[in-house]
Amino acid sequence: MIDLELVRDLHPPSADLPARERARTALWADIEGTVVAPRPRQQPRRRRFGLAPLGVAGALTAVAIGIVLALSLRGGAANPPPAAAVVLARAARVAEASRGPRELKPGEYWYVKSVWTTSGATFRDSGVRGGVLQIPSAVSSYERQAWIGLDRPGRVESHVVGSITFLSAAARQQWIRAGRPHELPGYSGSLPRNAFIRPYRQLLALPTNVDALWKLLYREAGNGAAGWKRHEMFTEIGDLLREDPIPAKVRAALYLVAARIPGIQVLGRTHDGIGRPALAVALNDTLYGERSELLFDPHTSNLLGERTVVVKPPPKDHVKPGTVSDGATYISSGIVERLGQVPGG
Amino acid sequence: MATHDSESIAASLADPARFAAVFDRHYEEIWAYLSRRGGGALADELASETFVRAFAGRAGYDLAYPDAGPWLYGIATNLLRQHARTEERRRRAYARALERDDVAGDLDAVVGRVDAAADARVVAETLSRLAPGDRDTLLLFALTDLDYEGVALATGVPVGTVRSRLYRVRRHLRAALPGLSDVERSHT
Repeated sequence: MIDLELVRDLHPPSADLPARERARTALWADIEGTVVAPRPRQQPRRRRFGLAPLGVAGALTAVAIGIVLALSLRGGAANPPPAAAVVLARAARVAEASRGPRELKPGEYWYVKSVWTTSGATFRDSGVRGGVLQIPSAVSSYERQAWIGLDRPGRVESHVVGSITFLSAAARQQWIRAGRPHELPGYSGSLPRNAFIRPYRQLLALPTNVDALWKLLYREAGNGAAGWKRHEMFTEIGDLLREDPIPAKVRAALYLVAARIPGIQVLGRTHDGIGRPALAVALNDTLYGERSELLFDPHTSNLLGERTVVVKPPPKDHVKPGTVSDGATYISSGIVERLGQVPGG
Repeated sequence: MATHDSESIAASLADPARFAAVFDRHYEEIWAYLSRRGGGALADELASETFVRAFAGRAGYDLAYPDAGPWLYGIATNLLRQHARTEERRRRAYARALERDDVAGDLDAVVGRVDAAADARVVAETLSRLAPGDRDTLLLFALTDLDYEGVALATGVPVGTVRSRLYRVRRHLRAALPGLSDVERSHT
């Protein structure tokens, strides 16, 4: 059986739509009650729609819970700071002292070049439904270049680099049995304008105060158990550090927020995907039996890369503990004036 | 005559009635998604609220996207988060109901249903232990027509995060379900 089908089976559709007209009437009441301004104001541009605000009551509750949990998760003041906190505090100081990227001007693009390794490679296979075969324990690598325009559409170009690797002999056999299908090409195409993780103005306006930033990310991590929240917050921090030109002071505050997440740890010196020396900070994920690592430049404190290490692999995956299942290496970034241009080029 | 949602939304800034076209195009799919997750009664309430909120927030809609589907699914998903307990109860009750039904029929059919009921219980338990962002990603992918890009737009995370989340969650599901094949079909 297929896991997604099981998920669908567990969520059967209901029979009819008795409330459709009521819903339309409710919307219509709002539509008719709307007074249109003579000239609509300039709309804010967004790339990610994001989730709509929770509403005032929900937001206030979330903030209240956030504050309580933030305080309770932070640990007693008498405890010595863990190694991760020391390392991240230092990274924050370096970040704060750096100039960071200057503010983008109209007409400019933010350029990022990275190399990604992702398990769950997809192959063209006419023998399966949808024509696409996914092998969970097969890893593909692709180079990605993105030009994100502030007020103009951007572009992303990604293409497969190197050959496919298999995390287990069973995965390789599966690919051979399928007739050694070709991997699907990487995605290349246009990006909407202002296609940052958050609209550019919001990125610039992120709190630089660690308490305020913690509260914001905590609230956005949704409701749930502490284990979930840790996982969500670490993911959110990675999202913000990954590809976006955030101000140096925000980056510093993000490191300090990461330092407060219970379970964060320093793994020590290592190398990133292209051999650069790096310092690894990780969160052991008790939910999924894996470890999420962020790799920082020991000198500049910039994010060099990240990777996911399988700590407790499911036996049927035939993958050894310690196997890297996913990763990314951030090669270069900077401001350019036109699509296709690279910094310094 | 078909127009894009973005055109309807842009026009609705000056002429609010134009927003009704967005409702007419998407109500059924939003309601179906909500009803699968929270049941018909909750879907009635939240589908209505989804469009009221979408209308109120339409000035923030990025007109570069012709299809408002991911945006609406994002609003609906966020509304569902405030009803997580209802959703959870429904899922568990349904898994239990599947087990109770295994009382009649020929042996093969009964064995098949017992397996399905056991799987349903495991899936229900596994879903309840997922992080909310991971659960939303999986359910948007499984229960709607959204692709990776659409799920990314609906949940406000990069496409790479959707990919790795889905991979991680599905690996987790496979680990919990005995007898599931190592290779799965997927759409991208």
